Amino acid sequence: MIGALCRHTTLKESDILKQACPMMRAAYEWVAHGPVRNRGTLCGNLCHADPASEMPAVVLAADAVMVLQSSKTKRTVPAGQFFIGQYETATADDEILVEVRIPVAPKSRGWGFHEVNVRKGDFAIVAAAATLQVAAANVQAVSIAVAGAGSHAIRLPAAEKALVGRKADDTAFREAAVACAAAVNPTSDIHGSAEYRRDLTKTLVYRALGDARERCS
Amino acid sequence: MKQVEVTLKVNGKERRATVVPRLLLSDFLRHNLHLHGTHVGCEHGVCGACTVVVDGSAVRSCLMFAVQADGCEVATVESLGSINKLHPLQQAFWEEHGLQCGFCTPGMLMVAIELLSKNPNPTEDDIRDAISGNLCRCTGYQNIVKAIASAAEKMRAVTEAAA
Repeated sequence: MIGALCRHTTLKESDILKQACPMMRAAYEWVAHGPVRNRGTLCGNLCHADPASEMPAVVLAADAVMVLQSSKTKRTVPAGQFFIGQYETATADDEILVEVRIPVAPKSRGWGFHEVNVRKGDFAIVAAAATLQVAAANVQAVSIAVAGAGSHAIRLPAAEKALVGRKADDTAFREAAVACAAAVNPTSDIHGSAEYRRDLTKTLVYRALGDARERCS
Repeated sequence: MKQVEVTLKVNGKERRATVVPRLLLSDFLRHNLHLHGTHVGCEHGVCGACTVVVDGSAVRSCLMFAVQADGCEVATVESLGSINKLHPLQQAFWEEHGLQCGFCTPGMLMVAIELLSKNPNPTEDDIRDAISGNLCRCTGYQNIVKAIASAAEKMRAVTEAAA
């Protein structure tokens, strides 16, 4: 459980996070720079919901739950319903994101995180986060999330569903990556064309799945 | 607009002021306290020229309100040394030509001082990582990295000699 005032630096240096969500710990290598991390918060980052920010992809892949509070109400919103548009979240005008709850990953679940950006610390051109659970060499559970390839970070449920039950091999991962590239809706800007972002999606999802498989114990 | 009283230690000295909540720490340091060493380059946190150290951590003073520094210890570049008695870091920047126009320099120095306080023996990668959030339009960064490495070596020698 990560509170509203928890700074990025605290998380990046936390042994608890390293154990409970190593994917987030790895993604932190890509987030901004020291002085920004010293004051910035995870909750603030998620509410700002930059389309190319790493953490929305990470919390989506980790099946996190957001806790939103107003003076009258307190409610939970799964990450999958939290990011709804460019810089837009499900947070109502009178609500604050007070907590992010991340299920602790079992040791048998592998993870992968890959990003391409212009300079170290920049927002992603595209970033991909994936988790994978394997049983008898077949995909038992998988999550894939992509940032930078649309108005907000997204999960790729169709590609995930197609993977479940299949042999966790390169062919399956390549097909999943192609499916993800087809499913995203990127726009072009000075850092990359829509076509480039689609291509990056394919490459980075493939790599993230491969890494996740290596990390399955 | 409602004003708020703040009390904070700046460069070791307690300072008290009444400010509006929207006043940025960078503007407070420069205009209220007349500490002009902290520079304002972009005002949205990406250039690093405004970097100061608050409670031991380097932060963007342009992204912090003065009222948020209430009760804190703030160190600006003025805390490092004076014209007649340069800090080893400043001396190293001078000797290694780690500055030209000097606009980015205070931010570089404060990031470096935080790095060296936590890691007195940084590798070149550590140094490059630490300054990666500070932009310099003049030098191409090579001599800044050299200066920090040189200062680190000299500061370690002093620490070892004193031990």
